[in-house]
Amino acid sequence: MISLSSSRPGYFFLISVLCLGVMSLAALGYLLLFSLGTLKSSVTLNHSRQAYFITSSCSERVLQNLWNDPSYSGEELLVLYGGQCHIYPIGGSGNEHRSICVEGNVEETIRRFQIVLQRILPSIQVESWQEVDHCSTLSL
Amino acid sequence: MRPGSLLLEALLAIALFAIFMGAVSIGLFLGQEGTLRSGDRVRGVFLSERALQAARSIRDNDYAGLTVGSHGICEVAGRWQFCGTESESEDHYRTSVTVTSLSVNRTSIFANTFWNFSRTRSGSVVLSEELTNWRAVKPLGDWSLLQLKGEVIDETPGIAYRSVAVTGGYAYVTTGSPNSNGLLVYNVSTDGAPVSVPTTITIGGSASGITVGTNRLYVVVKDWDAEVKIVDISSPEALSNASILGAIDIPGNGRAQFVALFGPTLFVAASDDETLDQFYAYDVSDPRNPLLLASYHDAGGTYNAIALHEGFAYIAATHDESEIKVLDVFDTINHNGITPITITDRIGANPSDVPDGLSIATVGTKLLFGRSENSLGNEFIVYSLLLGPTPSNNPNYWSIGGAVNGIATDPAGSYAFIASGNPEAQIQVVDLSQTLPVGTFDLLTSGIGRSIAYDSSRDRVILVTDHGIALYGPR
Repeated sequence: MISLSSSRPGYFFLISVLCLGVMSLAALGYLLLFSLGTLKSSVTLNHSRQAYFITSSCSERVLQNLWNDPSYSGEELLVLYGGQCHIYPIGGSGNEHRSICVEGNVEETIRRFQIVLQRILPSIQVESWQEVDHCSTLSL
Repeated sequence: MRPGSLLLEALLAIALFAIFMGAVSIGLFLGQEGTLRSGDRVRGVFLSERALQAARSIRDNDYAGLTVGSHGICEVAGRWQFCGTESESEDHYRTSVTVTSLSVNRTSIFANTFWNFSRTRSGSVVLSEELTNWRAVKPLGDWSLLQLKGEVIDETPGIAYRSVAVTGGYAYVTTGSPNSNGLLVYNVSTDGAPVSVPTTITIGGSASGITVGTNRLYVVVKDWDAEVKIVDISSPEALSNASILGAIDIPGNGRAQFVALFGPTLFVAASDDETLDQFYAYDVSDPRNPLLLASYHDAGGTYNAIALHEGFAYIAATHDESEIKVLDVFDTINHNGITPITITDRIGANPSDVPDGLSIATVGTKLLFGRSENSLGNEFIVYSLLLGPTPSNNPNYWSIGGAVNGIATDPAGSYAFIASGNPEAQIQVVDLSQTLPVGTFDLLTSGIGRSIAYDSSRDRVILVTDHGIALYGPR
């Protein structure tokens, strides 16, 4: 039995380079994936912030519509810059104690607000305005 | 071993090494570039977001501050302001805010942040938001003097107007005549005489109480098997029998008196019965299949009217020892039509003497209670709810000169409007802020006041009498 290293010394060098190469490729892959992930997370952050502002825009629309006419009922789908939002049916009735649920999305990123109003007229008074995972049915 | 193979293998190894190192270098470079570019984008998002928040802050201060055009943002004396046409951060990102008017009270804001550090490190981020003028205070009229804007007298023999509800520029009037179709629609979207809207709907004879929800109307009728009818009013100009979506059969025969709605929950007041309940709560999210959530038994009188306020139902009743009932209908569980809610009684109020409670309303921290005509001359009573759900001990009594058949208020709680049984003053206005009656008005020749509603979208009051409807505005 004759070992490669003793009989053909060039292979030792080649195999070492190949091993180094594999490690380098692994590092390269990691770096590229890391870079890609970072780029993707920045895009996701961008989407998330735009989804936030779409949801906020929808909330503004709902509040203005209620201010114009407290019988405004909601249940609308609006297309806004970069995405869309869904206005759910407005909860409660009359001038006091109304609830709003709006959901904005940019691609797969979704943001959701639930707003509870103490009253609508003569000026809107907000009891709570919070981002939620799910809107809950407002009980008296 | 062939001579030269070692050299060949070494050369091959060196070439491979060079290729690997080149790839790694390129990878490092691309990785670093990518990380820097994503950092640029994150920074851009942050700056655009800050610009939108600044625009929001300017709006919160004064909506008129959102001037149309391209602006930079800057902070002056702790407040955000627009300045110049763009602003540049210390790290050389430039941000421009573009304001565009979409309508009188709606504005579009685009915040564009851009940068150009090298050939490969340039870019921009745009975030957008709409802002509205919902923080404005809606001007309400001076109701110390009423102006009749228009009226219609209905000469149909035997017609008996009972209740009115208004939404979307339409007034829905129930009629009590067994020969009528039970529901009339008037267009009250403009000043002038209300315009009758022809319909083909027959709701059933002797309709009385009425309330509106989102595209729905809930009407109380003297029907033994379907005391509350649910009507689709999404097309008020085309109501027909097909618009009747469903009905609720209250236990007993024709016992429903009044309905009040909160979200998907309809509360129904019912007449006295030794064994059957007087108060019911239904989930009406599916109008074709209303579900009973709870009921409450309180024999000894009839529940005539309901006002919902802060988790409590205030009821005008005929019980001699307690004409004002207070029921806790608050439910911390998100009811979905399956989970029953709990109704418990709280301490109500027992106004002097024993006239029956006919009408009730709440506004702000006031409870307004109306009762039948009495010799004491105190048909209208104002309680405070400042200290909790139980009406205050020292209410203000008012003489109306007739039964208080209906109460409405302006949203600010400044005025109460009363549909009165006083034939000399069918509609009366009370200044709640000064606890003074400001006017009684005998403007109609169509019977006594039966019901009244305030149209908050137009700052108008709609009164129905025995056979007429009138539209009022402030002076």
